Amino acid sequence: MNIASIGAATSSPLARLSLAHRRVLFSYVILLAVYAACIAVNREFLSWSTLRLQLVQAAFIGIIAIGETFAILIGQIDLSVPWTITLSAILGSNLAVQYDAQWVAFAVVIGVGIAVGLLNTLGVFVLRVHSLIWTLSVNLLLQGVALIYTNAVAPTTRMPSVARFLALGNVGDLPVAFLVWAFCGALAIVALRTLPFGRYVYAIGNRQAAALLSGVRLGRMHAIVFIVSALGSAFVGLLLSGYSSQAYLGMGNDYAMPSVAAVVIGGTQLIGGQGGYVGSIAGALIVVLLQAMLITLNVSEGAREMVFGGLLLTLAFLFIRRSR
Amino acid sequence: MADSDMPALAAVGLTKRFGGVMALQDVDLALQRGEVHALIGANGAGKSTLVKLLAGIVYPDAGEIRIAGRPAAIANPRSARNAGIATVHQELSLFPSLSVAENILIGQELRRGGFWVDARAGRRRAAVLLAGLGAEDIDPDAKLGELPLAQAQIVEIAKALSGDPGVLILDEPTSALSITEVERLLALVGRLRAKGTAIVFISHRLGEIERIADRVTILRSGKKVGEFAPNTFSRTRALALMLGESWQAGRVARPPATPAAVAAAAPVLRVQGLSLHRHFVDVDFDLRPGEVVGLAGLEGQGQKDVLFALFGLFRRGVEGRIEIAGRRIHPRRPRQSIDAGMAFIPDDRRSLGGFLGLSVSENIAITVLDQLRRGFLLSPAAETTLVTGLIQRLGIVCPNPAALLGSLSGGNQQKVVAAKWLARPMPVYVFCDPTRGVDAGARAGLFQVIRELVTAGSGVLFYSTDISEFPALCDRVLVFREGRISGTLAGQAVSEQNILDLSFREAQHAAA
Amino acid sequence: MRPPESRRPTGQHGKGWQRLGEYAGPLSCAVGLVIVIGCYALRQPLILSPFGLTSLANVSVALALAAVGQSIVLLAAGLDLSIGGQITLINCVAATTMGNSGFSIAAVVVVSLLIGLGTGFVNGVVIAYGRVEPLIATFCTAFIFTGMALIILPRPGGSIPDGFAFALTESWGPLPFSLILLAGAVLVVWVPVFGSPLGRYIVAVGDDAESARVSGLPVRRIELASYMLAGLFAAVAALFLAAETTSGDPSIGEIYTLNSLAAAVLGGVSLSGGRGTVIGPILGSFVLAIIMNALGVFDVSAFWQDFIEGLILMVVLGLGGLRLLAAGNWLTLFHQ
Repeated sequence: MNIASIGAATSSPLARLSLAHRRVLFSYVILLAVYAACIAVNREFLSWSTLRLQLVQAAFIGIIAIGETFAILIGQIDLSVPWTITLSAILGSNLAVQYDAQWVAFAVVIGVGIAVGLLNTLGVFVLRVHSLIWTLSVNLLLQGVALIYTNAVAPTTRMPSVARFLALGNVGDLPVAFLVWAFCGALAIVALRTLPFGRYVYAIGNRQAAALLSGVRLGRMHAIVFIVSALGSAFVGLLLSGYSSQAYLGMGNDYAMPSVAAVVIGGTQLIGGQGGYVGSIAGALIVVLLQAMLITLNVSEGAREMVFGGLLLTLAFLFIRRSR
Repeated sequence: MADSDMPALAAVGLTKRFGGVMALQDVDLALQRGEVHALIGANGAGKSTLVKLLAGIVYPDAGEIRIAGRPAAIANPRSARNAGIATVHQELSLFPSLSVAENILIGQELRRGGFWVDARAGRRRAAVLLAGLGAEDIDPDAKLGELPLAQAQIVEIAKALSGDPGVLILDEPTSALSITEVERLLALVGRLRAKGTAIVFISHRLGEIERIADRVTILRSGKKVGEFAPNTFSRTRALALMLGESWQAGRVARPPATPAAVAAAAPVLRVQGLSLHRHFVDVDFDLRPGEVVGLAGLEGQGQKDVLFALFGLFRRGVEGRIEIAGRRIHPRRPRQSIDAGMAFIPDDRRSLGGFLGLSVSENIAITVLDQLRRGFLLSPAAETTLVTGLIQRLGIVCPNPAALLGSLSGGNQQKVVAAKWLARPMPVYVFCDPTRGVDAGARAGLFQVIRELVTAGSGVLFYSTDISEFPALCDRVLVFREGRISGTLAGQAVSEQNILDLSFREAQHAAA
Repeated sequence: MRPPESRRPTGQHGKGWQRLGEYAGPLSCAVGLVIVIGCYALRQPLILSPFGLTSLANVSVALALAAVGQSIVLLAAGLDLSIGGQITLINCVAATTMGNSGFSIAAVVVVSLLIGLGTGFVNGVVIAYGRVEPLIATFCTAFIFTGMALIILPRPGGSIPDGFAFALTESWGPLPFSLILLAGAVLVVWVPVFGSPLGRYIVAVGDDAESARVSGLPVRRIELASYMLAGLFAAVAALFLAAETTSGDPSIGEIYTLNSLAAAVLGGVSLSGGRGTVIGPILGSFVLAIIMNALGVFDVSAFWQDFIEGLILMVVLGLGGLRLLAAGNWLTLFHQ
């Protein structure tokens, strides 16, 4: 035990619990603050129609953030999100039209999700490549695949109606997308808290070697986490294609940073082993509200990027420190 | 007062608090020139903290340090070095990617023209320092990562000596060394003492203390509880002071003789012709239910590698036959050995067995999560029952099961690590150096656990770097030398002397 | 430094083999470079002409500079995901401010280098003193720098005087000026840094920051220095790109982040710190850049370029991983 850990270790034994809970609580406080700022900027944010839009956007990021939370919890990261989204959307919509069947789109989502997830597992677990750089490379590869495909087959303009329903539909007053997110999110929280899966995730993130010696099936766990992450991204690709009624190259590019930001703002440490999905929910909402607020303020793209980077950096500075 | 009477270093009233815990309380220490001052105490007594204060790694909350009578503020490692205090740390502070010479002179590089590093002069100075330590065989240009631990330790000492310190602190310098290397080190300490250096020597091994120390200071729970002037050291008094009341618990009775019934039972573990290139070769033995078999010998002779191989930690290259409870296995990862019925308790220092950031309950339950399910979900009630039962059974000291493992003492952490394998009985338990860095009280607790396991019918494989533990615990001992079993001892023949003999004898090949 | 229980005593491989292992990265890059240029030349013999060699150098030097900067940070066990953003920012600043006079050119060059030191300073302060993880810190600063670039130059534009462009992209006979620039940057920056104690301090911090602290080294200042040096190299890369394209582009630096990491890894620089050379990432950059450039020559459709690029990266990284796989022991795998 190095000097830095002695102080932490011998302080209150409930330190970790309250520390993790404190972070989640703080993320919700920030959410309220951001929402208040949004309202101050534009009263429209009080209207349900505006909020609905934000919830749908947050749903997209939130679903991606499920897999991203898992990945970061085991000490990795998944940056192959953007082109998984795009590839799944393009491939899914084209094949659905080609075979004239809705379920084909879902099959594509599952297929792409499993394939990308296994590819990421291959690099990160089997070949022991740093997950950041491997998933970025996979992202580039998927970009290539998407380009090759769209060169060979013209993208269709007909999106599967089930996608449109999921993305744009409503059940009563609530958007379907939000309900889907709520369902997936609940599953994620249950999985992390009350399934053996969750324990294994935290164990691996805490100390991989000890997990190995305790009999945790590392390969299987890595595969599950990356497949879940890729499935989430692929599914969001389908949703996005329904949302904007088109599947175009680069549609996923704006979704990598926000999902990582959501997880980090939500209190999950990048080193792994601490955090959870409850915070990521607040994180997703914060990210979406921030983006909306900046657009309302007519802030230029450059300024928006600066603000985002600066805000996230400040939050990271406040929350996520390395040991001395 | 004559100048030669003035202590080289005098610390008065040193106090340090970490969070809510008093690591050190009002401790005084006087180091005389040309004297070896030993510092002993159980784990958590405050020795490391005292070292860190003297080395400048942390700053005292109260108290003063005087060098040759003058107060010195040691605010960081650099000022400690400037004050003439050099430390050989327990966890070596060396850099594998740099060369030996670069390591020795780090922070004090010789320059050429005020800017460029003079590598040649540096090499020469390093060679001189190494020769002074009797280590001419170490090449100053060699990359440190290539050296074995004993040589790396000498480099660390050379690094400490490079500033010609008046005070040298040696923090557990022998805990990872073989017997011959310990001899070399003790001889070196003697030479430094003769030269006039004040030496602080920290060790768990009272035998070494008896041999080398002039003065001995004992710490317990952050306070100084005793000091022995030269030639007055008494092992029994020291133990009593170190451990307080728990000393009596440290005594371990000899195990009863192996009942005949055990000898006849089918082996829970059978190993035949086990070999791993460059680690060990032709290892044969049986482990029967109810017995504790120890793997002894000098460190690094293959014992640990055999245990790793049995537990599937080697991914390839292991040849031979392994049978657990009659079933043959080829473990290429730990999961396979676990499924076959083997549990593995690693040594504390590497923190391999425990998740410091998870709670005691989560640590213990990790191996049996499937059993704790009701339907799909984990049952908190089942987990609590299991965990509280095991906490009681092993006497684990923790405020409650939700406490973080990292907040427990080393000995209790090790008990938790053992506990997770006790949730369901396994045929074979492997204890790989479980008492390393664990104080006497917790050690007795672990031995008790091992006793219970064999009484319940399991077989235990035991490895330790402390040779005195084998006679206290093992029914049979296999002594290793250079990757082979050089001999077997059983029953009354298991003694430190016999183990030492076999450790040095050439391996005997299987009789025709 | 952890007690090396998993370490093998000397004599296992012999010193010679171990030294060879260190240089495996640069050596295989050198071999790869020869092969790649060879294949290129078979298809297009003109590539070996002075013009051809210059164009090869010109496509590689920017990446080489970025890779060297990245390597310095990697050696200290850090990570700079903002190097692309820094290149973008300085590129846009240069393109919008550089006038035709010699004084203007010199001033802008100096300012650009200062900006590079400044962005590096920001990174270093946030990481070394603010104690933010390098991954997230540079992830964020990348957005900040790119955002600034977008504000300065929302669309590709700006201008670079011909004289400046000529000076960096032409050649003197068979010797490209760009290579001289690269060599100059290395000589002026890398050599003094690694000839002075700072260089070994960087490696020491990369090996084990705690040991470095205990040994009395000013760890935070060393980390700060490594990021500032990376920023400096990013500035040189940005100026070169400005000369090469004679304009500014707010998306020009994007690919340099991932590619500089790949080139460094290809060249044998360890992602966990402590190990690496300067020639490794340079050779790695040349190999990567020339391969990607060669695809066009081999009639590979533009649509396949990203795919192949991604594939190459994955293969390169995977090969590095395969070396690790050779380790027989699970535990040594985790001590990475």
